Amino acid sequence: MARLSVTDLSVTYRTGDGDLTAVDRVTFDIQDNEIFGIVGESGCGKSTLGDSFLQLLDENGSISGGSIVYDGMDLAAMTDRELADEVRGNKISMIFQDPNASLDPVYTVGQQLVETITKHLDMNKKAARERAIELLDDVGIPDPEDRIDNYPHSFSGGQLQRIVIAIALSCEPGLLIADEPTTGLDVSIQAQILDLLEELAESHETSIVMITHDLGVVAEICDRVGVMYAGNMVEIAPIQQLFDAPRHPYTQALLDSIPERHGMKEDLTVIPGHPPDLRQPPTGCRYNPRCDQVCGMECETGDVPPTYDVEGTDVMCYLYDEGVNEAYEGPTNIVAEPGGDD
Amino acid sequence: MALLEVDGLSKHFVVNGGVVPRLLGTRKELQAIRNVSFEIEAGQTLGLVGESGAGKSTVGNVITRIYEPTNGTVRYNGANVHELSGSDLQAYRQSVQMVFQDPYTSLDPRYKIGRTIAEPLKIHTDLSKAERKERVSELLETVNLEPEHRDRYPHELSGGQLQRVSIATALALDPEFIILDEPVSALDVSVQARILNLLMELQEEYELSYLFISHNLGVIKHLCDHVAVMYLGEIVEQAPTGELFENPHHPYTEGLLNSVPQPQPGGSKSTDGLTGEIPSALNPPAGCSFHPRCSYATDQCSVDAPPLETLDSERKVACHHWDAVVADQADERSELTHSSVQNDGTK
Repeated sequence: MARLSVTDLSVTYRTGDGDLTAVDRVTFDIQDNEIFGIVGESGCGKSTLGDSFLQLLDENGSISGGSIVYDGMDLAAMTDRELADEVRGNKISMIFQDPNASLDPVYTVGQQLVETITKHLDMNKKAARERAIELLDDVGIPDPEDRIDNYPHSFSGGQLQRIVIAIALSCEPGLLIADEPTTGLDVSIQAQILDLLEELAESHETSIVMITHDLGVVAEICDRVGVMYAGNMVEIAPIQQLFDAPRHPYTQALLDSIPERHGMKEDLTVIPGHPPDLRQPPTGCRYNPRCDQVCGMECETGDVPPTYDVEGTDVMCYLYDEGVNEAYEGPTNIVAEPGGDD
Repeated sequence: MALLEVDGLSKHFVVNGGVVPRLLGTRKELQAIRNVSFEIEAGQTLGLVGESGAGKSTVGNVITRIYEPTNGTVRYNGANVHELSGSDLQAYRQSVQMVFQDPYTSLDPRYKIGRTIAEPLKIHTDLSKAERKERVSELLETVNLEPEHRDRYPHELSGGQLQRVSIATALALDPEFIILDEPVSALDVSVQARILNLLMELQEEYELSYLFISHNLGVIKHLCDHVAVMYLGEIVEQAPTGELFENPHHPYTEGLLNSVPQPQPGGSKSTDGLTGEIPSALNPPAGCSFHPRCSYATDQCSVDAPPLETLDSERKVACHHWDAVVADQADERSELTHSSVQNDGTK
């Protein structure tokens, strides 16, 4: 069953040089107990998408269309107050790249855990403290009874990220949004944190949205993955399928640019050009100026392509449309037209 | 003779220095690198890999004379680098260049790109202004930038373009040897691919030697001829790249390789990665510094520090139990081949 349904979601930032649509009509579901990856390069809109679920966008950003349905509620239509009281930290919580920035340096980790627990759950301070110790133990902090009264500065980066995860999971949320949770960490610590997240997702029956630029991390823990380019989600596929049979030319090029997929000292595949300025995105498919597989006029004109279902992969590309790509022998399954405004 | 020979290099930093701590006896010494030795042949790339705090960057900084070593020598073309002076030192500084991780901080935001690239030419050569301008254009072309980038400021360029500018600046004086300290770590994969291709092209064209410092094993594997793995200031294993990745002899190398998430789902899961965290370099464990995290450790390991042993032609390893590590891998491999034969090897 879908735990979160995002439909035609757009997020727009107002800037001095005009409006910038950082997330453009994105549609996807997250199933129960699923780890869903959102992958893309800097500026593709993946963090904006993650921030929009709890309306944590910057001052100049707002949801300009579409819906985010969780547990029967449309998060996109809720006020800040309603979200703070009913959703944030309670039903949906979020962790970020830098645990130092997520924790308050002048409170002990225990105080920060207890605060979250007593705010959302009907527990007195004593019970909350016991629960906090259990949580620290769950995330692998040694001697939690003693360490609970320490301040953040006395923990290492990996341990701090574990504590942030403990706080995020303290109220048994149904969904955890993890935005580059292991990017600042060493590989050995990263592997430990990924294992921990996977384990906890299963034991707490939490679904995870894993936002990352690292295709290795995606391959390691995600069940399904959405690839973003210039604000569009250009491809959604089960993990194995994405790596074995990438459908979108951008996904193909992205995978080909990873050194691990090449022989030693072999030239790596390079994507020509740069991502577009989203204040003036190209007409047609947003990837067309860099694409080596442009197959018809439609690629370069009009709106973004519809989404096609190709053997279980959702892909926004005319290559899979018999009417545009003469070389394609079908079948053509349009699952969504670029709906929404314009 | 190797181009660069590093022999028994150590660098200790005093933390908590000053008069009061000295009187109180709370002065501490941080051993950033301990007894590091390696060689780089002309035209070759040595990768230096390890996690944060391993001492990788300190090695680079001692070679370029940013730091004086506490012990040991660095020889370049046979001459002790830290004894050079006058014109020899100037020649060394032209011949050895460095590229850092973050181009936003290594380029002066108030200088136009052209001025940044021309600066080493101004200091080290007697080219006229017009000649310098011409050389800057050449360099921009070499790193695949447009001539008009000369008149831009760093904030007008993307991260990948700025890293090319850093590389152009490093190339300005026709160096033989470049130290690349995490040159692609701040870049997106598609941009990283371009910079790696450029570095490989330049190496071939100008017969450059590289010391490639990185925590990214995928990048190291792609670019380097030899790899040295560092842990808490020491080299624990060194081997030709292919051998190191296929057949690691040190338990730390093995754990590190197992920790890297592979961009291929369903592959080997990181079940036997590394446990625990890196200890503080202020207070390294006695004996082998890896023993508290090592599954092969015995009593001997907590007392005796294993020396860096030369095994065959080119492999060196510092571990009392490397033979057990290798034997375990051979077992695993035979199991793997066994099961893949059963699965009809659909690779």
